[in-house]
Amino acid sequence: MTGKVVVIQGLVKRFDALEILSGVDLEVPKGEVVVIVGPSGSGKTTLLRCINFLEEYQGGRIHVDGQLVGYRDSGGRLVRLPDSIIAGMRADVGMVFQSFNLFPHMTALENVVLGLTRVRKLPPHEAEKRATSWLERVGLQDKLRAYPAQLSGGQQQRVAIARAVAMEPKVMLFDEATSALDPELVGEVLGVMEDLAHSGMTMLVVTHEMRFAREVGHRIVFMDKGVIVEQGAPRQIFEQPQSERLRAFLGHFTKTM
Amino acid sequence: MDVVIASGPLILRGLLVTLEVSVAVLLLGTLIGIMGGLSLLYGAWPLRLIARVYVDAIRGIPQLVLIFAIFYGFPALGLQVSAIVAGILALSVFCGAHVSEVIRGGVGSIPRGQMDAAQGIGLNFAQRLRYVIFPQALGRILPAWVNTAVEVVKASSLVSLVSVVDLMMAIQQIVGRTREALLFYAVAALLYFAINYTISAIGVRLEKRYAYT
Repeated sequence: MTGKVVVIQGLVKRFDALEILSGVDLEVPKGEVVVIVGPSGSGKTTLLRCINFLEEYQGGRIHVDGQLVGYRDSGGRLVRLPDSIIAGMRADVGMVFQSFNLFPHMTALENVVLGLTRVRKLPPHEAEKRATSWLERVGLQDKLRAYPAQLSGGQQQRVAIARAVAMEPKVMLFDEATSALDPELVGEVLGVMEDLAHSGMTMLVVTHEMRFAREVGHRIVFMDKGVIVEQGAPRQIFEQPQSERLRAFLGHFTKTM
Repeated sequence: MDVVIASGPLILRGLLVTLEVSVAVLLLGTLIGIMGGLSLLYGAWPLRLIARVYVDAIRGIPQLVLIFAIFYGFPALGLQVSAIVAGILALSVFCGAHVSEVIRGGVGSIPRGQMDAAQGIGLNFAQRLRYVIFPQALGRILPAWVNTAVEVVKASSLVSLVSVVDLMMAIQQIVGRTREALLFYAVAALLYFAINYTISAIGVRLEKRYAYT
């Protein structure tokens, strides 16, 4: 498991009788940008949420940085860890959501500072310094004191990215980070994500932005009906899709590419 | 006018007892309500069930029954409680049930994504509530909490029926002596109204301060 930031083996996730993930295996080495594509309902979002333990899983194992996520292994049985320990694990996994989920009662700066002081236990002035430098890096140096309601969708999502990255996570998860944005605001968010990718951040990105997948992704993973159907380098996936399902899926995008 | 001034000290003592009972009930009841509301929202199913039964049962029982049950019932169990303590306990149980539902509604109305994001940066359960959920829920909880507080102040007059000399009992004693029923019940009405108007006014100001969304 050395060098692998995320190791997923035989992951099974059910909501009652409904099986969302039916045995997913995925390994992500440090610095790799994995883009997950697939039709809606294929389990992409659920896969990300399991990695951050926002969802429990019923079978298989997820390791982040060598640590089993959410559970302790008791002779092959998964026993849920207490919330405080799970919280510590989540701090090492950054997540960006489709709907931004900024804290509306805090300024942009306070949104980023909260985790740094309360979870990372940085002294306030140091937390502010780090938060400010990340907000600058995503181009929001003029918006430190702005509340989320005063920001555009693209600006809110950039604050959300700064909030996650400032925690210095081992891996960043992007769950359709641009799907809720007006088309003219998508670019500024993808730009920040690309910048992160080039800085060597390990990333799992669920997106419908095929151009981003192709240009920034190191590896494309195609999911359908709760399993990984096909994966490979972008060129291979987009130019020589092997499975019928992937060809059908890509067919929907040819017009826009 | 002279009779009112002459009765002043007794009315004042009664008023203080009414305030004392109300404040004690609101503190204790809110504490019970926070635990009840969080149990309803986040408790494991046995805890959730207990909280649900408590809230629904108490909300269907008259406050006076609760007061009598504790004042006359507890001694049978070998627990001696004074009239004022019985009143405070009974009304706290009543208040707690209402506040539980208020907390459940207010906290439950915060979008799921807020909890997700708070979990995402690694805050533990208590931190998520304290820094992310409660500050946002406060604006939604306050109006309903103020209603409950007003109900509590009004219901506190029931402790006079187990012979606590609160504002209500003080007024009744004065009416018994002076035969000035209309005048003194008007004084009582005015004082209860003044307390509740103050609570509502504070509530409106706080509500504005905590309205974010």
